[in-house]
Amino acid sequence: MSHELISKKDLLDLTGISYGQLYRWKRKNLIPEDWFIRKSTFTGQETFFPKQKIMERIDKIQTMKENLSLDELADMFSPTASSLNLTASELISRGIASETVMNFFLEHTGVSGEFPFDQILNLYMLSSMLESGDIQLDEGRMLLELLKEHSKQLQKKDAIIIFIRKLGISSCLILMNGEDVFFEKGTKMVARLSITKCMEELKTKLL
Amino acid sequence: MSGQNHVKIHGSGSASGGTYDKITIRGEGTILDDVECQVFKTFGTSELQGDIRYEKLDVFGETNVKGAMHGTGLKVIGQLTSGSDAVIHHTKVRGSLDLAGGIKGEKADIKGSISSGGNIEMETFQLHGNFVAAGLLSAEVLDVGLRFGVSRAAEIGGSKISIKKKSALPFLPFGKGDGTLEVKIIEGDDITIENTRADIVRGKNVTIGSGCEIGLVEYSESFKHNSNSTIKEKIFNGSYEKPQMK
Repeated sequence: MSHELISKKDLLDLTGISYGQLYRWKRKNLIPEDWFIRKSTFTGQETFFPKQKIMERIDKIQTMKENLSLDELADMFSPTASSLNLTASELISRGIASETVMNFFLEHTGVSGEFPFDQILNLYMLSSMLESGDIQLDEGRMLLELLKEHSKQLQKKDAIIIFIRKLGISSCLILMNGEDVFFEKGTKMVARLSITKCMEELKTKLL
Repeated sequence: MSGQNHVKIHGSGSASGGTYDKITIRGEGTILDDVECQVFKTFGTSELQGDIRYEKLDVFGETNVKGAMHGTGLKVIGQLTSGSDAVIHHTKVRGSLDLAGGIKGEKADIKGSISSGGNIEMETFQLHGNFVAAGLLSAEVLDVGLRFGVSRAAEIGGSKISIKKKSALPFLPFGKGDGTLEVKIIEGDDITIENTRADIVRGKNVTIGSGCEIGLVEYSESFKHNSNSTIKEKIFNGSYEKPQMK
């Protein structure tokens, strides 16, 4: 995650969007309030953005606004749970999780019938970590425990899940409004997952 | 919603919060807690001690809402104050609307004044009178007539921004002369301003009318300038231009 900033003016030059569009997207909550970073420069107040995040976001908006309304887009970017309820078999057929992962998930969470969005998200995160081979089943259980325990925090923006391992012993943690974490020598970070990113990926899959 | 669930207060009285179809207050009334209703009409003085969610809210007189407001249509003839944020699709004010928090909506049509302790964000914002926003005033189309007093905002941003002076009506007891605007930054695609003091104005097409004092204008397409306004610095597409002195 780079923390490079880009000024509003450079952003408009680079992307070719207008002030009107930028403010419209801000009003429609397509661009989060806390990405607008105000700093004093020699010309007075200037607004800056986290470069990588805003460039990705604008790229997404521009490619998707052809077939989605701004409100639908806002819903997609919003970190709040949307009103989707799907059953286990529907989720498998949409490729959110494999049957194996699904069975494992059902076994350890006791979810049945329709999945609320937060459970779908948990499933998706579990699935992506298991399928990538970063973690094993035992650690998957650990992940589910963590997600269950701190479900409140996960509704918030910018939560990041980190898996670490040292000498074969593993642990996981949730990082809020993540700046940086530092580990002692010999600790390996095996997986790092941004919840906001997962949510967006998931929503594009579900749409 | 149950079929016939109305509250009527005639004279003086109070009612508990809850869910109602229609609430009418004539005289003086207090709603003691959060309330949700289809239609809320108040004539006289009223106070809501919680949040309110509504379809339609009509205020004739004076109303104070302690909590947040969430609704479709708001009409104020008189004065409405709120101690929190508001989300209102259509706002019509003839008098004043004062919010401690921010307000978001589709359209606002205001004759009188609006003040917000946060941001004012609308698709269409029309105002004749005076406004104060502690944060950002943002609208797709912003059409302001400055009638009286000093309007203020930290920032103004949008697509079409027009801020003009309108003389106060001669028989109204407002201060003499026109209204003025003080703002740090104005950014938009098409900007026309009068009677404005701003540090920075940035846009595609910028017209600085009479009575302005601007620190820096940055424009990318066209620029017009009334000679009785002062502009310290001007930048066209990144290149510095010497301001012309009359």
